[in-house]
Amino acid sequence: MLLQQVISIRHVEERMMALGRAFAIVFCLLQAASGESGNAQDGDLEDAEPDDHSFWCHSQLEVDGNQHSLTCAFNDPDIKTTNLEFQICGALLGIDCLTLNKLREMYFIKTSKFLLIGNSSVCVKLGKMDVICKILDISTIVKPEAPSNLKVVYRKEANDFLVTFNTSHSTKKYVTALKHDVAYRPERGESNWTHVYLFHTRTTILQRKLQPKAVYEIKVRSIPNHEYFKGFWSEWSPSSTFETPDSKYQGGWDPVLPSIILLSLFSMVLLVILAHVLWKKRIKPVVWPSLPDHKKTLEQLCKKPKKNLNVSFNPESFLDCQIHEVNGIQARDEVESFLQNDLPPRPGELEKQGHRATVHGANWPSEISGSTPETFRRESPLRCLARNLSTCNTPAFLSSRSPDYREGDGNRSHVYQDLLPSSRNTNGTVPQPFPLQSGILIPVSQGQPISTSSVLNQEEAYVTMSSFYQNK
Amino acid sequence: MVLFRYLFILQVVRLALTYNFSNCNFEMILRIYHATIFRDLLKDLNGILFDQIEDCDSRTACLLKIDHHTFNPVPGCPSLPEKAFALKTKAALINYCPGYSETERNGTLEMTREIRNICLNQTSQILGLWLSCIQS
Repeated sequence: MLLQQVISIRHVEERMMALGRAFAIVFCLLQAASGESGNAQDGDLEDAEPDDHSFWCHSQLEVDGNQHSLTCAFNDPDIKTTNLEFQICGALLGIDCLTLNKLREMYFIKTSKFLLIGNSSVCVKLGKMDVICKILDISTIVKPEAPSNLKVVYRKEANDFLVTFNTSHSTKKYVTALKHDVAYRPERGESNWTHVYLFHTRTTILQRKLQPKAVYEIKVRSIPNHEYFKGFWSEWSPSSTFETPDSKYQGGWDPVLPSIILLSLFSMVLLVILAHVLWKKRIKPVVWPSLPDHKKTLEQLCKKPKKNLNVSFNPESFLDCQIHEVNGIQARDEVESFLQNDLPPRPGELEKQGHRATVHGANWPSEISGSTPETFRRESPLRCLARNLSTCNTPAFLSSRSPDYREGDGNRSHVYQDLLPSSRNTNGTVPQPFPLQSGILIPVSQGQPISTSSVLNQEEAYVTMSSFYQNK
Repeated sequence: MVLFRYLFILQVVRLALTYNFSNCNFEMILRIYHATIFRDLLKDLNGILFDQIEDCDSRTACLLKIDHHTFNPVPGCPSLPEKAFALKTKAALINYCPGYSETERNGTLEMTREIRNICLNQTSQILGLWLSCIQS
C-alpha cells in the first residue's frame, strides 16, 4: 500500500513538473517577445535601419553682386547631421569642387564660381565617403528672392486698389523674367486666398470684387519665367493689409447718367407738347396736306338757285318766251321757227331740241333785249332754265338778280346789266361757270350786230354747262 | 619662305581637323547664349561696340568662327579665353556639341601685355558673330 502511494505521488510530481516546464517555456517565450519590443521602443536598434539622407537644394543668382548662392538641406529635419557635409562638383569656373558651409540645419555657399551651364554633382559626405549624391543643374533650381515693398493704394476715381511691389530681379543680369503671384483674402474669416498672376510689378484689384468695409491681407511671391532658368516659387513677401471703404461709397454714384435721363425725359415731354400744339396749324398741313373737296368747290361755283328760278335748256321752257331776232336773218329765221313751234316737241326730238335750245340759249341775252317787261314778269328765260334743274345750281350772277325781274323794273338796261359779269354780280373769288365775253353781253340796241365768232364761243360755253348738268 | 610654307600647311591641317559643329544642339546653345553669354559679353563691352569685320552665313560657320576667336588668344588680349563669357561658351559647346572637346590652342603666338581696346574689339567681333548666328 505504501509503495502504491509513493508511486502515485511520483506520477503527480512528474505531471506537475511537466506542467511547470511547459509554463516555464511559455513564460520564457513571452519574456523573449516582450524583451524585443521593449528594445525597439527604447531606440537601441536605431542604427540598424538606414537613415534617410535625401535632401533638396535651390540656387539664387546674383544675391550679392556677381555671387550666386546654393542652399541645401535634408528632407528629414530630425536627422543627425554631425560629421555630414555637402559638396558640389562640376560646372564650376576654374575649380573642381566646392564645399558648402553648415548654417544650423541648412548648408549654404555663396560664390561666383557657378558656371550656370551643365550639371553639377551635389553629394552628402561623411568624411571622405559619399553618403548620397544628386545631379543638379544650378540653372534649373533657381529660387528668386521674395518681392518687397508691397503697397496697396485705394483709387477712389477708379474704384479699385492699385497694388505695387518691388523685386530685386529687375536689376539683375540673368534671371530677369519672373511671374508673380499676388494673393489676398479678408483678414478675418480664414477664407481662401484669391490669386492673381502677373508678369509686372503692379496690378489693380477692382473694388466690386472685394467685401465692403473689410480689412484684407495681401502678399506676393515670384517664380522664374525664363526659357532657360527654371526653379521654384520664392518666399512670400511680408504681408500687407488694406481696408475697403463702406458699401455706400462703393460704385461711386455718377450724376451724369441720371442727368442725361432727366434731360431726355424733359425733352420728350416738351416735344410731345409742341407737337400737340402745332399739329393742326403747322405739322398736319406739312405732313398730311388736305385735298380739295369737289363738293365744296362746286358748291362755291354753283349756288343753289331759288325755288322759283327754273333754268333749263329744254326748248319747252322757251315756249312762252318771246324771243326776237337780234342778229342777222339766219338767227331770226331760227327764232321764228322756234316760236312757231308752239306744240311741245315729241319725245324723240327732245334731245335735238334741247341741243337746239342750247344753241338758242346762247343767243338769248341779245334776244331778250327785244322782249317786253311783261315777258319777264311772267316767266323769264332764266326761270325757265331753273325750272328744269333739280339740284343745280345756277350761277350766282344769274340767280342773285332774279328778284329784279319780279320787281317789274322795266328798264331793260338793268336787266341786261344783271346778266353782265359786272362788279356787283360777280365775285372775284368765284370763277365764272362759263366764259362770258364782255363783247357779247354788252347791252346793245336792237339791230346792232354781234360778231359771229362771239356767238360761237358762247355756244361752246353753254354746251359745256349743259353737258355738265346732264351728267349730273 | 620655308617658315611661311610650314605655317600655311599647319593652318590647312588645323582647318581640316577642326570640329565642324554640325551635330550641335543649336537651340540649347542659343538659349544659353541669350541667358548667360550675351549678358557677360555686354558686361565686358560696357556699351562699347566696334565695327563688325567678321561675318558668317550659317550656324555651323558662325560657331566655328566663335570658337576660333574666343579660344585662340590674340596678341594684346591674352586673357580672353579666361573671361566668363569664354568659359560659358566652352561649357555650352562641351555640353551640347557631341564630340566637341577642348582642342589644343595656339601657344606659339607671342603673348604681349593686355591692351584694352584689342580685347574690346575682339569681344565686339565675337558678339557680332553670335548675332549673325542667331539671324542665320
